Amino acid sequence: MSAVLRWRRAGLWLLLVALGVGALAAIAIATTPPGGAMDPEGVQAPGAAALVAVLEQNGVDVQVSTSIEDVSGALRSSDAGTSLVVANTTNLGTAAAATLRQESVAVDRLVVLSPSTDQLRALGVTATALPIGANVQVESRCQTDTVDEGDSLLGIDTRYESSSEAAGAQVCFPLTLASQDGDEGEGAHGAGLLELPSTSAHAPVTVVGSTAGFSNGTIRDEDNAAIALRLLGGSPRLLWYQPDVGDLAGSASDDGESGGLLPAWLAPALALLATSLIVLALVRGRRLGRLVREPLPVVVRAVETTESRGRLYRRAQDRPRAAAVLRIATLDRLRSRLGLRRADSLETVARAVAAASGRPVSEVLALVAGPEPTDDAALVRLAQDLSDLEEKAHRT
Amino acid sequence: MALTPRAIWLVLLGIVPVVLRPAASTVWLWLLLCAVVVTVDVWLAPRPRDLRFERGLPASVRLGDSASTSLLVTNPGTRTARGLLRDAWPPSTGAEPTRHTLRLAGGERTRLTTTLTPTRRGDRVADRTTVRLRGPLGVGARQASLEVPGRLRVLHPFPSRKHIPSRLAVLRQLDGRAAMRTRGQGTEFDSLRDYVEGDDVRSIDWRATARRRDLVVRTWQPEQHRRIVIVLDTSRTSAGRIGDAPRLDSGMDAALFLTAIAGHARDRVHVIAGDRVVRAHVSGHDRVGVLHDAISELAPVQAQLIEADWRLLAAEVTRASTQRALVVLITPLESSALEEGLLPVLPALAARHRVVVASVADPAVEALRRGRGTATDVYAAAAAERTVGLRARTAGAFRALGVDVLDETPEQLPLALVDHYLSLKRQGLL
Repeated sequence: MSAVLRWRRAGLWLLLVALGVGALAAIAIATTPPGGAMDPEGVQAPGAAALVAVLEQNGVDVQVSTSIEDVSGALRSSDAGTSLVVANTTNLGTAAAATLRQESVAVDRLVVLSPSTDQLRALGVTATALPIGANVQVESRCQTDTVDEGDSLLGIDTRYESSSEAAGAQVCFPLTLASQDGDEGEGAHGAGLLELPSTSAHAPVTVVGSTAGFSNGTIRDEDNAAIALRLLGGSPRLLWYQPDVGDLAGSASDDGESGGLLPAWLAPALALLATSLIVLALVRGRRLGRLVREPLPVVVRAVETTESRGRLYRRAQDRPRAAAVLRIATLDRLRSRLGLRRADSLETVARAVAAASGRPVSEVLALVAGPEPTDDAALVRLAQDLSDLEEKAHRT
Repeated sequence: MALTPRAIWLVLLGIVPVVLRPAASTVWLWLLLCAVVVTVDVWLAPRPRDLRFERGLPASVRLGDSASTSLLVTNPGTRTARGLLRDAWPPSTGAEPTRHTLRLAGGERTRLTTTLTPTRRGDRVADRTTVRLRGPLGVGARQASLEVPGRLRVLHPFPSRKHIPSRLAVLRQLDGRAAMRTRGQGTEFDSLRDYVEGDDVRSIDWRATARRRDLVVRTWQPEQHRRIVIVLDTSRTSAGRIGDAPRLDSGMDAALFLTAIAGHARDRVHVIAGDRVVRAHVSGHDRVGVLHDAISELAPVQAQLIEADWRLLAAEVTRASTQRALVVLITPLESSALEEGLLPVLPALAARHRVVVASVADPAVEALRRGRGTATDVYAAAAAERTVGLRARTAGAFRALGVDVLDETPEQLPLALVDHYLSLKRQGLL
């Protein structure tokens, strides 16, 4: 029996520990500040307040939005002379990205920092995102509106391979493996920056494969600041779209391609877990024999009728009756104590009581046969006086 | 059949094959396997109905004491029976432990003991005994509920029994047998015996002394073989509780105390309990037997929520004793109930017998009566005075018929009743 109990206790502890870890994880997830990286107001290393401040000094009106609805609203109100940047794509769902593509057709430039392949497809760009797994420094080796030949960018962590050469697409910061044999084939190993001209489907798009390159921590390195200002400062207005978790909805999981995130055995394991809960209910629910009936006794307090009568007097405010009952009871007790008969007149009794208690006869008479009390205070006084009288008559 | 906690772990173990082959079919196959394992385990489990049971149980226990009941379980088969056994009793029996672990090899037997500490008076009947026997794997079990009859009578605690020695001393004094050197105060001539130093000289029988030429004294004894009929009212007014116990229990205490003392005084006692029907009727000459029977017969009697039929109870008194008897009616002095029920039959009863009405008074009413603090208190005090007045009026009406009325608190009533009985005996009024 004790061994069974020990096992049961151990199981309970395991369950409690598991619950505790789960709760801690939930708290950790819930309390992580959303969009910490490239936060336009963040002054820590991953934030981007420095870039925003410099842009505003240069006369660019930076507007921050955190949901796709806000972005749509801002674009609808006016999209002339506007650039749009998605600086942190962690929470950019594919549905939000598709909406963004539709709404941003007329903007001057759409800059996206290190999007995934799915996000790019939703934005109308056919390219494959390949994470490098390191922050590298690359030279531009191209000349465009925003990038000069010889610019150097630190912090590239994703390379993009354009599967089909889109018309007019420009490829900068090509990544080359450490080979000196003249293999300069950009696209062969992907590039850190893609510039795509506008089409009927989307605005001019610049895809930069750098999550942290323009953050407070690294913007002063190499030519990062210049590139950032040229990319984002080209229009008088800049919409800074920092999607929060609400825009994750309609993400890749809806497309039936979630296999990458969750282990394949999770769903069947959950089914097993649910079944085990049902089994638990069956185990605990099976009674060891039927319930036993207990014939219960009646529980009535004997004093209840008296108490109810008292409440009835009080609710009816029946002072005359209460006073009469108290007087009669006192008189009865005094009669028997002083050896008087029931038939004796009130005066006889009053005289005897006055003699016994040392009080004037008139006072005793007023007490036992006076006028009815007019309010509750008078009733309480009368009751106290009656018990005083009884006590006095008792003592002598 | 029943499942055990191991069945849950068996299902959860399926996570291993699911991780190795993550597919819905794995889940289904695993659950099928579980079902097969459980079915086989249940099928292999020993049958509870094959076990044999024998119950050992004392016939009765006094309320407040503990009794123990034992179950002798025999396993006539060859396989070991492992599992749980529940010996079910109603909650107020206070059975502990409620379940036993059973581990019984083939051909062996074991005794399982349950301690019963009842919390209420009356008969307690054992419910079915349920046995759950596990299979060899311990994931499934067979379960069956079997009748192993048992009945425990929980007796009235009879708290006033501690006063028996003191009242017996008074009785011996009446009897003249007491160690005290006083003449017996009885009124019936008993016998002559030799004078011993210290005897009252007034009791010397000179005529016998002259015959014997030796001092002889007369002894006296109280009247004996009188009839005493105690009627316990079990109607609705007795159900009211004073403190924790119903008035009926306090009245029962008084009835048992009187039965014990009157039995020692060699009076013949009848105890009748009833309302619209007679719930119990105990009588007998044997003083030990009648007390024992009264305690036992009154144990299951409970107050009923119906009006008493005093005509029927008076007829029962007449049937019990055609001679003149001391009739003790133990009933609460509730004016409305008694004035309509008891008062009409009382004159006839009082004409033939010496009648005493013993009532349990409520100390709470007395406490209410003294309330003088607030208006609410005073109204309650007025109500209490009214209750006391009504009781006094009823008592007055009874006294007018030559009936003695005792109205005492639960602790005082047994003493007051027995003292009244002893004083009647002393005066030879029985």
